[in-house]
Amino acid sequence: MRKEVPIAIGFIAGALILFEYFFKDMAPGVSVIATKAQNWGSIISAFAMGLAAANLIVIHGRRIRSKHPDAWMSWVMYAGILSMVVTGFAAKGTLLSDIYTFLFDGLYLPLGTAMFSIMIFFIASAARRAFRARNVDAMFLLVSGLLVMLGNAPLMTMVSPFFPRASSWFMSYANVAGNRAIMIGAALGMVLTGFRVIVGIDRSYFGGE
Amino acid sequence: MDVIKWFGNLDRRWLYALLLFVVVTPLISPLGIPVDVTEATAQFVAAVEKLNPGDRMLLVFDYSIGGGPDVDPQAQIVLAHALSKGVRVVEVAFVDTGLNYALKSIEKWEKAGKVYGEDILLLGYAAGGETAISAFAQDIAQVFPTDIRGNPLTSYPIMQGIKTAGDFDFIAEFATGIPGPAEWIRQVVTRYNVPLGCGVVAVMGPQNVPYLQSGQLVGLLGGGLKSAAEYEIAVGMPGPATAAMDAQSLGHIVVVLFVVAGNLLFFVERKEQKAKKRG
Repeated sequence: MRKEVPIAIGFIAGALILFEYFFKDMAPGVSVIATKAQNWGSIISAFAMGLAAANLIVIHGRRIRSKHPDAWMSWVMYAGILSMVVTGFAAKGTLLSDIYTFLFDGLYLPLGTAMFSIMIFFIASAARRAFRARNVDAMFLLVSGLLVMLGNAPLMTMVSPFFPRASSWFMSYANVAGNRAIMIGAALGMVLTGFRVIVGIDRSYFGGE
Repeated sequence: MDVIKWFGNLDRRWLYALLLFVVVTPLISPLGIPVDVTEATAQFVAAVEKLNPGDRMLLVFDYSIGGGPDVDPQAQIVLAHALSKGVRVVEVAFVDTGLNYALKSIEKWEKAGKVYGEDILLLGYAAGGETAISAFAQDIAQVFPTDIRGNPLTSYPIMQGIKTAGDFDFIAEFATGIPGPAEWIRQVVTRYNVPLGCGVVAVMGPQNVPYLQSGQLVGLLGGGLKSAAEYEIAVGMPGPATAAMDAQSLGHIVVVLFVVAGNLLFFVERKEQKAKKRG
């Protein structure tokens, strides 16, 4: 029963959503059930976020108890979670209280943005050392990459119309051809995996090997 | 040769300093480099331009903090363009941080005189990614019985007659990952045949071009901040994205110069190694 029941639930849920997707006009009642089932999915996702937060608290609690050298970072994490949760609830759903806005705009936003922004330094440094035409394949990659990058720089558009045209060609033909092949391949794989899960052949969601 | 070797062995902190200089200088003193509008952006502008006053647009804030600087200017200019045409805009988020951007936009436009519930509305955030999008598309009130302010959707004039995602005249989705254009195409465009335009971070642009060519997207802002600048120029509302273009342009060119110099060094070193082997 420990295996049969989850497989049966997976089959019913999968078959229901699949049927509703393709034949919703034939059986309007199925749409109502499918929407409800998907709402349960949203509710489970919301619980998963709470679970993740609880997990984070437990893991960092262990670090503090074991007197890990970086335990002070765990205290910072606790302070961050606590301050955002308290100010978020205090805002009573609007999320626009002064203190919450200050924490979001003054801390979270610049820290998150800075993490993303400093990548340009790593990219520039890595580009100098690693992006090299070691063989013919790498040469193609290098030339196309440089042309697309230059085509996206408005300054180079002023220098010559060749750069935006070349960039546009690579994006519209070479890129699309490659991406379509990947997308169609991945879609077929998804169909097959979905079918295997629905009929119970793929049981990886049980966990383990 | 010596110059190339010198550059190749230069401490990377000098390169960082150079990059910082070329990015920051134009932000302080703009150069005013003209920005051309690409076809994909022009298509997005045309799709919004086609809407009539009173039409309803769904604006989706599916972006994170990290990609916000690339995507938020896109969402803001599309919102400004739509509202300037008298289009009514319903906002929603399926990424938690997207909600904060949506809240700020509501606050800004309310201060500018737009009426909440008539011109603009914020439904809130729903967890669950693609599953939540699918449920939302089928029955909005099931996922959002109330808006972000806790009032029933039926109490707002902007929501009259809207039950599913198919009742909107246009959907504009801005994303930095999953959920993104692919999820919206699968769950909404295919089933409800609503025109969908998407704005994404620059790294996601190339993978979404096939959707534009196939017609599943009516417009794509796939160049990140540059697409936002193009949109601002196209609708005659230059803003923060246009101002940042000089910095991005020079940053690109410096990175390209680094790559070219790195390759020159590579060829010089290889030539020397071959000469040593022969000698």
